[in-house]
Amino acid sequence: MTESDGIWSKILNLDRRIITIVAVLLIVWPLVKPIGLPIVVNKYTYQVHDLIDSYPEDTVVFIDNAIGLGYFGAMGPAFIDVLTHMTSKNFKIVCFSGLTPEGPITFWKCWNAVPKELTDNYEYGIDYVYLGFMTGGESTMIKAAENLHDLFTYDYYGTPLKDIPLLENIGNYEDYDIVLYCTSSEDYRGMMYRIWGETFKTNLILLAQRAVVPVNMIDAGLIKGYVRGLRGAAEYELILKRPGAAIAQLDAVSMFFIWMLGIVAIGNIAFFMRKREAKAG
Amino acid sequence: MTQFLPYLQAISAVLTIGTLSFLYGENPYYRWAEYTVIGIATGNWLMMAINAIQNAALGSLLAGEYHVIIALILGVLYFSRFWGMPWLYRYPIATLTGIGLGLMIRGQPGVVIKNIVGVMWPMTADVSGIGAVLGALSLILGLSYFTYTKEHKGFIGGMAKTGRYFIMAFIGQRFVGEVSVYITVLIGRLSELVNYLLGRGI
Repeated sequence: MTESDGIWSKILNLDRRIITIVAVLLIVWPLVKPIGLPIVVNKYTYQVHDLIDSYPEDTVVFIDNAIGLGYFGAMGPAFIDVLTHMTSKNFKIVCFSGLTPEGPITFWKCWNAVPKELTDNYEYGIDYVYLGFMTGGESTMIKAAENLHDLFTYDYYGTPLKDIPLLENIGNYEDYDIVLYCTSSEDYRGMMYRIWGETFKTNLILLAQRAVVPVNMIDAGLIKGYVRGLRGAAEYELILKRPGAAIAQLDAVSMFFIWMLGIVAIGNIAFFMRKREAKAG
Repeated sequence: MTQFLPYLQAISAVLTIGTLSFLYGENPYYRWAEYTVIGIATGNWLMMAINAIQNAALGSLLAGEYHVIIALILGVLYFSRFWGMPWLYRYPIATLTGIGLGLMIRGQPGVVIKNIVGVMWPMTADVSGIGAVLGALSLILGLSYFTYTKEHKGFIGGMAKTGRYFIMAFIGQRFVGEVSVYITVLIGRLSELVNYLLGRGI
């Protein structure tokens, strides 16, 4: 066995734990000290930003926050960034969580992460309201579009809806200028396209992961924009010129995939080199 | 709630490390973290479900909307398995299926048609045009793969085979998307952990 053959064999038989440890170190490094790798902003993220930007102050936004806790790392930053943009424009926010009972936890986590200088002038019940979790899937969502007051008797804090000033003149899809659906799952997206995009023809924005279907839905005119998970969040932070958690985390994602691509390339080179040397001698 | 935040962050960090310790191997710390998370999640689900019933059903009932009694009865029938009358649970399931289908059919045809047109249009002489042509081809060829009334031979066979490649490309893309999603989930947790350890707050 030649020395060179030994090197290729060693590379091919590299301990998986070493690959994992290096991957973890490469992930943690940009989290401790962000590198600032280049990010290209997607046109769909611009669409969301431009749509929100095109609306005046006091625009009413209806949000369904269905981000589960397990996916908060992937979806939370996108929701925080869009909330940051909306609050910077003093939008009126009506939010509830259909589809996941962890929604209240993730909503407040995101709301509290919006810069304080933007939320300080927001008064609960006048500028924003959170209605809590409601089970029921499609029938709940249709009711939320047709008459919110039929669906909820009181808000997250137990205040009757009739006592909430913001909801005095807000009750159905005609009152919502923008509908924002944040989700970590693919299960109910079809329902949202059907209800908000097709049946009620609202300006539906999607915050989600996995790109194929939402892009088709934009082409079909059923949604007006799409922020894709962590990457979309980093792009949004770039557009807003407010670097935050997503940019640092995307650095970590990039480092991980650079490492993975490197490992795949080196593995392939080693495989063919060993084969060639075995043939040669 | 804010005064408890440091403690909650500490608990979150401890549970994250416990869950990740599974990478080393099965161990009591991981088991404890797993059971704790499942227990808390179940408790949260239960409380949220009770709140939702109070909000949507009991609130309406107290407001004089007595028709919600029907919904409540149908909900209770789900538990009929425990009373030795399992056939009763078919009523809520049948009702929900019927309502669900009815609601779905309201918007679904439009979504399907718009989606098909959106994928195949506009067929212009640029990049988006190429995408539209590929979209149309993948739709027709992909569907031909699932045509079983004719044997996959000759021209139909060629179409089905090409359709299979399109389907494989789609599944491959989906798989990469899944890996990417799970990596971002892991990075989200690690980010919270690093922030906690560095005293930045989560």
